[in-house]
Amino acid sequence: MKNIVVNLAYKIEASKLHTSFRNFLYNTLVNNSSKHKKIFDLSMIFLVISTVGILIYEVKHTLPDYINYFEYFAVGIFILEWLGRLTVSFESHKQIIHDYEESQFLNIKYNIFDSMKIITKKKFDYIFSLNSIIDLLAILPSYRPLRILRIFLLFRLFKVLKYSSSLNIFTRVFIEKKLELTLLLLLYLLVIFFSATIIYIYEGNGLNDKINSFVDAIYWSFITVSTIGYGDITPVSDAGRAATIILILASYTVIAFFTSIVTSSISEKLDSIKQSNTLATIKKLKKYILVCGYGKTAQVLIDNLKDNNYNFLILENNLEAIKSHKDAKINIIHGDATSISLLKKIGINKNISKVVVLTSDDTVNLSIILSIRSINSKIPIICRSNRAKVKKKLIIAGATNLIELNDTASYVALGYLNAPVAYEAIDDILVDYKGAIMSEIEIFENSDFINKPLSSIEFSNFNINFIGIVHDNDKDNFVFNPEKSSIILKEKDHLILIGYEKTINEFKTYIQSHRIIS
Amino acid sequence: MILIFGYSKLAAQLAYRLKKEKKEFTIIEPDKSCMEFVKKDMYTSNIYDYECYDDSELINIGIQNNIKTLFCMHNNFNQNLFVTLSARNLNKDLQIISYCNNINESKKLKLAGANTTINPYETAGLKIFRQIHKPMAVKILDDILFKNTPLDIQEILINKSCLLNGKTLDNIDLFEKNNLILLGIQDKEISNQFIFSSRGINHKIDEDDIIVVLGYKSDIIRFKKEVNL
Repeated sequence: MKNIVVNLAYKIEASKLHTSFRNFLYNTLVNNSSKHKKIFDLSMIFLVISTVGILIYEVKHTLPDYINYFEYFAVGIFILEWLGRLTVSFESHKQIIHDYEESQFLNIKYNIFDSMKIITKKKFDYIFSLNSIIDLLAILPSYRPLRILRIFLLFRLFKVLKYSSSLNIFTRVFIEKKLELTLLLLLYLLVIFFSATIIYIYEGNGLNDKINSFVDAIYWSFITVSTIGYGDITPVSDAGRAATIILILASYTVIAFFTSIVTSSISEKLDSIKQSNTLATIKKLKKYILVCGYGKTAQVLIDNLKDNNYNFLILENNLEAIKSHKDAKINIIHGDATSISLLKKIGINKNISKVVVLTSDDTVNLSIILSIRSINSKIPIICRSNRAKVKKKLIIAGATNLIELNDTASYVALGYLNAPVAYEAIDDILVDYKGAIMSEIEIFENSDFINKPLSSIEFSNFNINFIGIVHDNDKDNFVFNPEKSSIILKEKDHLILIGYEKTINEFKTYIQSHRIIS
Repeated sequence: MILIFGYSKLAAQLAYRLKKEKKEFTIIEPDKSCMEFVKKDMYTSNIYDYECYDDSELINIGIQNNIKTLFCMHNNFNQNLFVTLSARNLNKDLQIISYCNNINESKKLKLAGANTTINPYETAGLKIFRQIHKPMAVKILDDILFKNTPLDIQEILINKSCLLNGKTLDNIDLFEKNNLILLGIQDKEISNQFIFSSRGINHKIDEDDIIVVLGYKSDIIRFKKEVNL
């Protein structure tokens, strides 16, 4: 028996079918970033709302058969979902393998019941968790003998909350402010009990024919405290009226407190709602640039990136800095870029083409670089260094390019000093301000020009300056204005040109139109 | 001769580079505490502690005849502005390059007479952007401009005796013959704007025009000789 179970566990572990099934379950039920989950959540919300709609319709109408079948279908799906979640919650066979291997290693006899105990405990932990109870309450009342509990079908609506992540934040508000809210609730109950007792003592003795029991007094107290005041029960004695006045004054305080606690904590949460939205939009982007630190340099960079339709995400630790540059279209996250967990959440591995580190503190920059390198060793990192002396350390940490503010500025100053006209012209070329641009045009695969001499490209038909060529196999070497018939073009060679946007685009189309049609 | 006003971090970096290029320059630093750094670094021995509120101090240094370029690099913007304006009034032809922190400061400095303003945050931001946008083009141009490569970008002032004087661009085959690329031309008579040759305008070269060429240093020297410069 024991051997069979252990063998089975190993078989499951090795089975491809099982892993793919598990991954499927995980992606549909748990993984927030998967496409399956989104579709699944939406259809579950539809099911819940339609079944609750049926419940309401049922009050005054008899249901046709097909609606009954739909109800059974929905319940079936709910049951499958619950079973799926139960399966995903804990991997039993792994526990068995783990325990078995441990006992082998320690050379003790393997006791299968120990593993079973742990597995049952974990499974029951899940069954009695809040999520599972909501699920169960949504399923169980469908069973005929339990029809009396039909009202619990409304718990299905809570399932809707589970499927929507932004609504989750509201529940988190209540969890985080638990202490304040409990105190407030106690105060509320005390006020109600206090005034109910007063009114019952003075008017419950037959003076007020509406107050026949303590429950009536409590009900009156509650309706008054909530400022609803139906007026079905009203005090008739002076003492009762005095109690009402005290009650109303107290109720205002309680309500004011309650409102302020909830609104303040929701507005605190608003930033995190926005951030999770930003994260979601960023996850959809295929390629983007990560900018850490939002200062003056970053502003210049970002303005240019925006003008040229680059996607980017900014990480900034200082809330003031974020608020000072408000622009709704900019993806910005408030957070510490040195934190590995935050970087992991963003996903350094997947879609980031480059990282730019721009804080004014070199030690912070160093820490950010190391955090990024701990996740991804290949991604190019451009880093700002604020002192010449730390350059070496930033390179050791893993920066691919360094920019020092005063260093670059002094180069520019020198450029203007030595050749002002030429330098300004080149500056313009690189910034694309006045139309003339320097451009790199790649010879793509399938291009007709591959393995042909450079002279086969008719440069003279276009108003452009051909400057030179960079070969793919020798990227560090720029070949200036070569003899055109002696160069044979290869795939991924880059032609360097200067021209105006229009002429460059004409040339680009010319190059791209010459492709081998396969 | 070059004059640097104000010994900021940027000025120190600039002084270091100027010394490397073996250029002569003078430093003015009004603040005593900053003066310590000037004396410690000692990139030049021409150091003055003038406050520059008085024009005679600038004239004394030679702003009207000796100095060709003035760098206003003081950390205090208003002081830069003041010196820029004074210097421009004393010498119309002086090249003034001033340090600024944002666009508004840059506008004011240009009104006061600066030819060029340098904003370190902007240059750094742009440099990073270019590295992302056009990595190869930036590297090539950086190498040509600042590193010791056989390639060079040079501006050539056309004088009266130059063979190019009076010719139109289409009629000149000397660029091609010398393996040079003509990037463009600046004609002060038309405007201060630089005209790129790729625009395809058949421009007539006159005296005082500046042409900018890209090519091997040896070719440029030969070219200059051929056109009688």
